[in-house]
Amino acid sequence: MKLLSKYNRIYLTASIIVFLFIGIVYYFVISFVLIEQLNHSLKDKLNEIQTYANTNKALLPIANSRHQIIFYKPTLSPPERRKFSNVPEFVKEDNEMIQFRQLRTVIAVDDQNYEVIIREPETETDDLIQLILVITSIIAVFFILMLFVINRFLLQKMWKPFQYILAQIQRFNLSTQTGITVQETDITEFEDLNNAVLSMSGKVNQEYHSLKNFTENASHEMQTPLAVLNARLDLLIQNDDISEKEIGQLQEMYGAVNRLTRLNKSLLLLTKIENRQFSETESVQLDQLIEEKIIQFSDLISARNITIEKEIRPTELKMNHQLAEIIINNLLINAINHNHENGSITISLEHDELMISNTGSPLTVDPEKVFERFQKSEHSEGLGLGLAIVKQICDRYNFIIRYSQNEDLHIIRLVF
Amino acid sequence: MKILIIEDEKVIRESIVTYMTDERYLCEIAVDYPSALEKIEMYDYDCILLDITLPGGNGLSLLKELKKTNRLDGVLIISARNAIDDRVEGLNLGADDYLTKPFHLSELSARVAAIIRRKQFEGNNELQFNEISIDTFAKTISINNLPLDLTRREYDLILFFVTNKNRVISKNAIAEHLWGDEMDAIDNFDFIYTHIKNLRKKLTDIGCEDYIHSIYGMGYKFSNQ
Repeated sequence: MKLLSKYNRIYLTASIIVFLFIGIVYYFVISFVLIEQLNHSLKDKLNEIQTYANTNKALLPIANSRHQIIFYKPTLSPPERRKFSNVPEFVKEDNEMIQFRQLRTVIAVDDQNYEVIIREPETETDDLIQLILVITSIIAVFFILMLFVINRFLLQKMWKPFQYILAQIQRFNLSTQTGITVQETDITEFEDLNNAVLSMSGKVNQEYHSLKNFTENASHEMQTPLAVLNARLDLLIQNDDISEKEIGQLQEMYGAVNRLTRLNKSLLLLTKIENRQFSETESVQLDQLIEEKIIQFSDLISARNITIEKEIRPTELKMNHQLAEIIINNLLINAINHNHENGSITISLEHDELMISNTGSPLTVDPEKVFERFQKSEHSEGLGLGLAIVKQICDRYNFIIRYSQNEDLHIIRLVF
Repeated sequence: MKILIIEDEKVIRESIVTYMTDERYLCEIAVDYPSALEKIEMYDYDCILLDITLPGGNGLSLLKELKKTNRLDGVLIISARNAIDDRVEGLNLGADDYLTKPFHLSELSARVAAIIRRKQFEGNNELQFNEISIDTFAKTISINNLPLDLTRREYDLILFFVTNKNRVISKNAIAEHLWGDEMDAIDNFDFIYTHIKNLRKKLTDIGCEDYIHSIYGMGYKFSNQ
């Protein structure tokens, strides 16, 4: 969950618990204090009665009111210590039960023992306690809310530099060379983060550039001598007085140069895919692509008298168009090349799976290694890179590709 | 036809000169950026072969120079870099075509011829070789003024032959010209033989001489004898 939400949650829970705790303690303390006050009042009255009794050898005349009630009752019990208690009594005027604080003792007045009971109602104290609690609760709620609001706005503002650099990191794209900018901040941790990200992206960009340059330069270096060979061969064959033997040798050289060229191009392609070049993505209509490729290779297909069965549903994929072309290209060429005369190819395309299978002689390569580089069957003149390139592209987009064999049928399944 | 070849690699440059001179082009050369700039400023050409990986200044800047002054020279970019960005930039800057090394000389020749034909829009749309007459604008062909129906591939093939007449063209070159990059993975060229056979039959059936000669083990030559 978001940091803010977590923080708020913890903070609110803690605040509520603390306030609850404080509230309870507060309640008991206030209650205690107020009850003590009542006790003092009762004690004072008792002392007054006691002093009067000692001085005048009589009981203090009483005037009972709502606020204080005094009972005298002659008793045979000996004098005892005073005792406090809470006593609920029904009060007729208020028509309800009211809690009284009572002080009871037995005193001696001129040879006669009297039970003295002094009572004061707790209602006032109760009301007071309630009022105090309500005010305290309101203050607490207000306090919590205020802090909640402040936190929300203040914290959001304080985290802005972080959000900014996070967005920058997410936007960062090596191949389009988006630069990273930072937001000024006086918070040390964010400043450190900014600097770390800047330096890291700088280094990464640099390495990407040098790597990209390397692959391109390597290709350039290799293509030029190949071009030289090709050009010279083109001119050599114009010679009228070449013997048949020499022609054969020339053709071999041609073949070798051609092979080298293809090899170079394919390896370069593999490296580029690995380096995450080809980053533009668009909506590719796979079904259309397959149809186009079938038409493109129609000469080849009819030359070998291969029949094509297809069950193709309109399927759209978001990926680089070139890479999609390469996948279809290589898979189809593979199916054609490793087929026999009058063989067949079956293609089925659904929204999450492509399956292409072809008849052909059994594999001479370890089926587990079919997608590795330079794996090819003995009869093939191919480079052994076609499927490796397809696998590389699949890895890039997290497609799953599997090869399986069923008697004389070779099946490749691609799951998007 | 006058062409300028801007290429720093000696062997490639000389090979192009030899081949194109045999094709009756007048060839001028430039080996680096400064001399290329000089030549361009002083003369006009029907087609300029520009290697953009020139030392002493990016070849693309040469292209920019050309386009600044609204020149009509055709431009064919040759490059060892198959980088898409270069290709797109080059074509956007007004180049007529882009060819990556290594290429077959016959392919180069065919493309130069195509560029020149396009540039001379009102003029020379017709290619003539004895009784064969090719209208490159309408993409039709007639033998002794009799129209001949050819498939797209067969048309491309006869055009390729006529443009490179009297040259020995390897099977590789033909395959690459007709099928482009996909040819990379094809194992053998036997089906080229089928196409040539069909073309030959159509030509001879309509009364044309067979100018397509097989050069054993190598390829074909389109010539008079």
